Amino acid sequence: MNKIESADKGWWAHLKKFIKTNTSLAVIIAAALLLELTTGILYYSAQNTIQQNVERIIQREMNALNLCIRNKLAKVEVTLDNMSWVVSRDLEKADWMHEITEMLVKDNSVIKASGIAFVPNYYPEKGRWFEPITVRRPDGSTENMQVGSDDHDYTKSEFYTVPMATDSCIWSEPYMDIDGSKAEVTTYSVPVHDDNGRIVAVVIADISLDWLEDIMNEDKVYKSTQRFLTTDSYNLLGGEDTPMFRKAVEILRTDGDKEGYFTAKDKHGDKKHVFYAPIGGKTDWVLINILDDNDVFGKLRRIRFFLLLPVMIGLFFIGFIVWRSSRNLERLREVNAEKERISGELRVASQIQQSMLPKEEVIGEWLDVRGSLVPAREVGGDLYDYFIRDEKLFFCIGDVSGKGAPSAMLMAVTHGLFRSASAHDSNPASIMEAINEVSCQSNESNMFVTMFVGVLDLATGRLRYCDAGHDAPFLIVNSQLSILGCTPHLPIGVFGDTKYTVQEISIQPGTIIFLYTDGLTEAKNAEHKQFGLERIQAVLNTCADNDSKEILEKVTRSVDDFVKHAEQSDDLTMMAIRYTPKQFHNTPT
Amino acid sequence: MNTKFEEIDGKYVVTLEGEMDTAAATEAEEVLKPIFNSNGKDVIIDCTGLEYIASSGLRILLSILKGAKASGSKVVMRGVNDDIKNVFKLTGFISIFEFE
Repeated sequence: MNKIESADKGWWAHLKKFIKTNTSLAVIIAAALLLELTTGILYYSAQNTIQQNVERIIQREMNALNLCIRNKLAKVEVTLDNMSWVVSRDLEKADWMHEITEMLVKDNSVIKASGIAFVPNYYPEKGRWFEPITVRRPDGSTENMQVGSDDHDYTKSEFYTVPMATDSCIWSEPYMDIDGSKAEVTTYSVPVHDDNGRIVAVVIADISLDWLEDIMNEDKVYKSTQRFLTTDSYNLLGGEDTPMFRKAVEILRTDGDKEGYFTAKDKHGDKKHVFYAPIGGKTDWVLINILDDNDVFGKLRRIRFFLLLPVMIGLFFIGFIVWRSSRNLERLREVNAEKERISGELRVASQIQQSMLPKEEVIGEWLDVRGSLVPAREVGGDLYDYFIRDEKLFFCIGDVSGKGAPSAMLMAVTHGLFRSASAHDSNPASIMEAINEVSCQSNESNMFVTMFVGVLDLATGRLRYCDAGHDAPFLIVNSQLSILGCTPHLPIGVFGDTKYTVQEISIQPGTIIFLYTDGLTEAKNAEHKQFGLERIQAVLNTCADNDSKEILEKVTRSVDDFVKHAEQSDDLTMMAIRYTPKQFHNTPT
Repeated sequence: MNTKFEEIDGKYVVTLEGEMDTAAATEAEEVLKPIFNSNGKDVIIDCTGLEYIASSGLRILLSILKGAKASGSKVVMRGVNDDIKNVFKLTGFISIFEFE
């Protein structure tokens, strides 16, 4: 028991695994099974209905045929019963017998021949054998004969022996009548009694079976129907002898039942339906109908085939769609994995980039500096930097044209160049030239960097600066906002031989320098409006007494309020420097 | 933003319309790539309908300019409005481009 259960579970697990790994195939198979089940049920119920209809139709057909045959036979039976009475009444008139048989044949077209077979030596004057008969000739005339003789001992024939022995009327097995009507006939025999009740003769009538052949082919609902009329022992009375008939008879013999239905296959393997029923009356005859299965269910099969065709086409299309979508899914999964990998790498790149920026704000009595950089994507093309060397603050802000990974790489290079150039040079113009020269050496993509480099002498307040195409910084002096006057130069990376000139001003104590990239002025809200210079000025006008941290926070909040949920389109970078020299504290003016 | 170029009388005429921000510049670059090498033909850049240009846009103009200079032809800017001209001034680009 346990073994069976575990085997079941194994099978179930296999199925589940198959569905998981071949979802599309499983869907198609399930759809196919469902469709097959539906058509199967439809086919089965239609077949049942047709089968019932066929049985009814054949039953009716056989009943009609039965009635038709019985009517004909009954006519013969009644006529002959009467004749038997006439014979027994006129037994003493031996020569009268031919009159009786002749009248019978003349009056009944069905009867081909009629006769009276007397027991041997009944009329001593007529000899041992006396059997007067009347036969209908092919031209319609009748002929009277006496056929009993030593050579034709009728007392051995079935039509005589059975009524004699059983004292009953019988229909004989069919036989070829070579003496009388010379055709396949069956004989109806009725015993004749004398006044003492002894059987003295048998009156007979031969019926040719020709008329049966016509009936056998009449009014067929199914064209392929083969009809057979047989005797009790299945000798053929009507219908054409075929192998299928013999096979059916074989089955009937073992069956023994006289009424029923079965199916059998013919020698070609084609299915046949066999219906059979007794004629009844005084006969033991059996009517057999054999139907071709194809004639009955052929149409249904054709319908099923034509139904199957669109179903197959539908299945094919379902399969195709499922296959395509599963392939697309697979591709999407791959793309997602690739995206995941790239974004993972970009996260690392972003960390590296953030780590390049100065980590700590320089805060002291002299100075208060702070920067912020919010990239539009994982990595950005903006940079800012500052450091103190020889009592001078070196600072820069830059913006690489474009955004994303390519500009981030150029940003990293530029940042490195700024650090190395400003390590030994204090002139912003020559620092700029050094960065530009190297940048131009291998710049096939024509990317460039707008940059502002400044060197603030912390002791004297002297600011020397150089602007390479960058937005000029703001100055807040004594609560007055102004823009630092800058001589425009070409950005870094445009032409290697660009000459940069240095500018110089003296910074008053308490001055705030605010630097930014165009990501700030061009920050867009959902209506595609830019943040713009005026809004920056409005915020900065409130910042005269704030330190660098507060200034950056104020501007950031203002931009956020403006942009709201719109997607950040460019890197957002700013830097604030608040210069408060020692002298100012020590020697107030 | 709309970007197109056509050849008229042996000159490339580039028409820029709308706002050339970073995203638009990427599309414009695809359109204009064929004339990054002008094959000695002069290039006229019609900015009459241009409302705004980001640094990415300037980079594309720079690429056209460098390609033209390398093959000995010139680049002329046409119909540049004051705002755009100001950008050219600030970035120093005004000194390397010719204006009509």
